Amino acid sequence: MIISLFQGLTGRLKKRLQRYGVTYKRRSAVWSYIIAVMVVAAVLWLRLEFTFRLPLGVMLFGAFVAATLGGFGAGLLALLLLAFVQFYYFSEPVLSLSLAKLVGPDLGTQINFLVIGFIMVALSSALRYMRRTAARMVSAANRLSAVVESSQDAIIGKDLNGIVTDWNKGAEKLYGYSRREVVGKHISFLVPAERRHELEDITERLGRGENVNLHETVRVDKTGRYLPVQVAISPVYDAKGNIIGAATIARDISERRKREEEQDFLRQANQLLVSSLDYETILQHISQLLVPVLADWCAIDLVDGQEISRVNFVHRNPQLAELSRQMLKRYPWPEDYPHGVPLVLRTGQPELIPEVTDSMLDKEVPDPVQRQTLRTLGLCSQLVVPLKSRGTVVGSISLAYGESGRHYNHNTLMLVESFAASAAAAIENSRHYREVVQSEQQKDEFIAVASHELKTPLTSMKTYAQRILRDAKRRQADEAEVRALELITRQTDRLSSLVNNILDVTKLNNGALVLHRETVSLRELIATVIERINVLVPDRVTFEARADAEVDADPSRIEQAVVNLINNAIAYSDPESPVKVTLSTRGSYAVIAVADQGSGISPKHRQYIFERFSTASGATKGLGLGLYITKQIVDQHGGRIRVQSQVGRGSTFYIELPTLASVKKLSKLLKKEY
Amino acid sequence: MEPLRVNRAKILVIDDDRDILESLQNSLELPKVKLDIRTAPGGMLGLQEAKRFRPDVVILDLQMPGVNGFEVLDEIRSDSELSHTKVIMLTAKDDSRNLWEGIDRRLDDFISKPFDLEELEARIYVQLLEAQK
Repeated sequence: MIISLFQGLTGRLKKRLQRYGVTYKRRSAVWSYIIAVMVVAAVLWLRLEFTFRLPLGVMLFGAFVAATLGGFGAGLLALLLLAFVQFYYFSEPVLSLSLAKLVGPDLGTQINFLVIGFIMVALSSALRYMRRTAARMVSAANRLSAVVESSQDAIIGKDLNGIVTDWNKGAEKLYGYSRREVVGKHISFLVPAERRHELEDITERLGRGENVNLHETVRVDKTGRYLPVQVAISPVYDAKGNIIGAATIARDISERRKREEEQDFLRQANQLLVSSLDYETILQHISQLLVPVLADWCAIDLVDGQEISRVNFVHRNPQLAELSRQMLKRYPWPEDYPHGVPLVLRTGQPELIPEVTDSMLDKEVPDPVQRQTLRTLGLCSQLVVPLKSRGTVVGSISLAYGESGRHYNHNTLMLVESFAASAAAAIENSRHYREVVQSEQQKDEFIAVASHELKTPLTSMKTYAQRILRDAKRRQADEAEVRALELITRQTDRLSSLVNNILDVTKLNNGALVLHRETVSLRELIATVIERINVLVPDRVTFEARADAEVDADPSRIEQAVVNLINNAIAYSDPESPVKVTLSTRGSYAVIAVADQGSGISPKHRQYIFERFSTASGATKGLGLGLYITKQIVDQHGGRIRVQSQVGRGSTFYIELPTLASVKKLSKLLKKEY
Repeated sequence: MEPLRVNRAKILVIDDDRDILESLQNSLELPKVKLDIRTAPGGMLGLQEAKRFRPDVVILDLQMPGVNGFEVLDEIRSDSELSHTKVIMLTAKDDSRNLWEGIDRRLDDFISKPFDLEELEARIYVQLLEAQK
C-alpha cells in the first residue's frame, strides 16, 4: 500500500516531467530485490565475522545502502530481512524462531530499529529519486538546448514586452548579432521601419493565444541588409497556462526566393519563346531575357553547315555591341581555340569560368586586339552553354559579366542550361518555320510569275487566232477551217482560265484575294451569266428566279463562282441534258441552286470535292481547282456552299449568301447592343 | 453603235512582248475607220513614240521591265500635249488591286490578258467616241 502510494506520487511527477522532455527507463524490480538480498547477506557476513560496537547501526547502514542502490522497494525489503536476521541470528536464544524472543528487552529495540530504518529507507530512496530526476531534467534540458543551439533556423525567445530573452546560434548567424548584444533589448531592432505595424499585429495575436505564421516577410540584419524570411511565432505558457512570452523561429528564405525567381524566369522565358515563330524575334527575346538579368552581355552563335555565325550580340551598352561585331568579323576565333564558343561547340559541354582574371586574359587571349576588345566589353566571369536540338549541338549562348562585377556559379549554370534547352527548341522551330515560309513564298512567287509568263504567249496566240477566224468567216472559208480556228480560240481561252485558276489559288493561299464589294442584284448577275453561256451551248441552261436578292459582294467573284458551277454541270452531264439554275431566298440567305442530270457524285467523292486538286467524278479533267476556288469565294463572302447528289440522277450545288437586308439588320442590331 | 465622226484614228501599242505587238498591229480593225497603228517594245520607247506620233488611243501594258505602265501613264498625263490621250491598260488578271491605282491616275479603261480581239476593238471604239465629245 505504501509502495503504491509512493508510486502514485512519483507517477504524477513523472508525467509532468515528461512534458519537458524528461524520460524514464523502467528497470526491472527483480534487480532491486537481488540488490536487497545481497546487501543483507553482506551485512550478515560482517556481523558474523566482526564484532561491532553498534550492531544495529551496521544493520541500518545496510538498509540505507539497499535503498540508495535499489530504491524504495529494495530498501524496504532489506530492512525487513535485516529485522528477521537480527531476530533469528542475534536475539537470544540465537538460531531460534521462537516468538517468545520478541517479548522481552529486544522488543523496544526491534521497533526502534524498524521505525528508524523505515524513515531512513524512505528518505534515502526519496533522495535517490530526486537526484536521478534532477540528473534527467538536466540532461533533458541540455538536449533541448542542444537542439535549439544546433538548429539552422534562428530561434528567439522574448517576454511579453518583446524583450529578447533567448537567442540561438542560428539567430546569430542569420542576423549577425551575438547573443550578448541582443538579450535584454526590444525585438524591434530586427524589423524594418516600414514593417513596424507587423509587430503590433503579432503582439495582439499572441495575446489571444494565437500562433502567428508569416510566410514571407523582411527583417534587417546587423549590416542593415534586408533579408527575406519566413517567421513562425508561438506563445509560451507557464505551468499554470499563463502566457509569459513568445518563441520565434525565423528561416532565411533567400535561397528559396532565388529558386522561385529562377522558376519564374524559366516560366516567363518559355512563354515568351513560344509566343513567336519569327526567327529574328526569337533571337531578340533570348537576349532580352538574359541581358541585364543574367548577363552584362551575351552572344548567340549558331552552327550553319560548316560555318559558325554570330547571329545575335547584345550588350548593356549598345555602342559596345557594335564594336564587338566588328572585332569578331576581323578576328574570328580559331576553330581549335581551347575556350569559349569553339570549345563548347566541339565538346557539347558548357564552360563556366567563375572568375576571369587579367593574367588569364593575358595567357589565353594571345591576340592583343582581341584582348583589348574583351577588356573594353568587360569580362570578369564567363559562362558558355551549348544549344542542343535532338542531341546535336546547333549553337551556343555565351554570357558574360563585366561592369556589374557579378560572377557565375554552378546555380546560374544549371539555370542557363534549362533556359538553353527551351531557347534551342525555339530557335530550331523558328528556323524551320522560316524555311517553310520561304519555300512557300518562293513557290507562290514562282506560280505568279509563271502564270503571268504563260499569259503573254496566250495573248498573241488568241489575237491572231481570232483575226484569222474573222478573215476565214469573211471569205466564207469551208466549215472545217472555221471549226479548227474556233477550236484554237476556245482552247486558248481554256488555257487562260486554267492559268487564272492557278493564280487564284495562289492568292487564296497567301490571303491576297481582295473583295471589291458592292450591292449586287443576283437576278441580274445570273441572267447575264446564263445569256453569255447559252451563246456557246444554246438552250442548255435555264434560269428561274423565284425571288430577287441583293447581296453585298464582289460581282466578278460571284460571277466566277456561278460560272464555275454551271461549267461543271455542263461538263459532267450529257450534251443534251438540261442544267437548271434557280434563285430563291430562305430566311436571311439568298440561295443559288445549280442542278444537273448528270452522273452524280458518289458519297466517297462528295466529301473531297471542295478540296484542292480533286474533281467531282474523281476522273481527271482540269486541275481540280474550280470547286475549291468557288468554295473559297463563297466563304469569303460569309456564305455557304453544299451539294446534294444521287449517283445516276444528277447533282445540285447550292450557294447561300447572306442578303443585303439581313446584313443591314444585323449591323443595326449590333449597333444597338454596343 | 453611234457613228464616229472621224474616219482615221492613230493607235499606239506599248508592250514588251514583240509577238503581242505584231499580232495587234496586224489584227486590230474598226468598221469604217482606218487605224494607223504603231507599236513600241517598252515604256521608254513608247513615250518617245507617243510624243512623236500623238496617238488618239494608247494601248499600254502594265507590267514591263524598266519603265512600267503606270510610269508611262504618269508621263502622258503630265505632258500638256498628251494629257488628253485615251489610255487603255493591258493587265494580267491578278493586277486588279493595282487597277484602283490606275483609276486614280486617270486611266480610261483596262482589259486583262488574254483578251478577246473584238472586245479590245470595241473598247478602242468607245474611247474614240469619248475623245470626240
